[in-house]
Amino acid sequence: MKKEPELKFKNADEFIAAWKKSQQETELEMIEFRKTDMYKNALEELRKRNESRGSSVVKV
Amino acid sequence: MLRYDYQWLGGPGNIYNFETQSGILYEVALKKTDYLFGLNSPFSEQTFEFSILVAHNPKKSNPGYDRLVAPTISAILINFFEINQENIVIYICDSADRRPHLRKIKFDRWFDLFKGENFLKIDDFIKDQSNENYPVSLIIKRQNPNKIEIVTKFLELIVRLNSGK
Repeated sequence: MKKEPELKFKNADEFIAAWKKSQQETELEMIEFRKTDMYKNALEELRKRNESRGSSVVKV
Repeated sequence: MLRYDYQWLGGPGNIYNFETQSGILYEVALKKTDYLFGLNSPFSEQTFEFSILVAHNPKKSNPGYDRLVAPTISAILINFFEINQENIVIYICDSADRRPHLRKIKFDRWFDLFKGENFLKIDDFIKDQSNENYPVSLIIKRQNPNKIEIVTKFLELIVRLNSGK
């Protein structure tokens, strides 16, 4: 018999609380990620591309 | 079609970023989440929560309407589904500033731009005990082999959460 997945939340309030916590974690993780060389180098690369094109806009 | 150039950074939540002509730096996060379908669900590994963040805003005030943001976010979502056709994206609209439905309208606009014949979006809402409605959307590719099961589980979950059972 197929086992049903275990759900973590009993009601909407619990689910929304978990979602808000996840959103806050994402924001905190991003604050740390922005401090890394990897992030800074990639952003510099994007800005160089935009500068050499004369705009951040591309036609696709 | 015009849009902003974007890049994929990876990082803690499949981060993409792009910078607008007015210097606003946006980040789109597609963070793996296990709380939608449950930890043991076969879909947990492919379920991602969509968020958009303003990483830098030289104007400090709320970013105004920019017609190139919608096609850029659409292109990012298309790219994300190219990585894995069986990805599942959920978006929940925050109600902190009492504007969840405006966010929903924006998200719908982004989706309308990229849906074509390839994507399916299911909309519903979650209501908390204070009767606050949180619009929630699920996006999958129409070709997803588990489409029926995913949509059924999603709708069952919403009903269960809203009934508190």
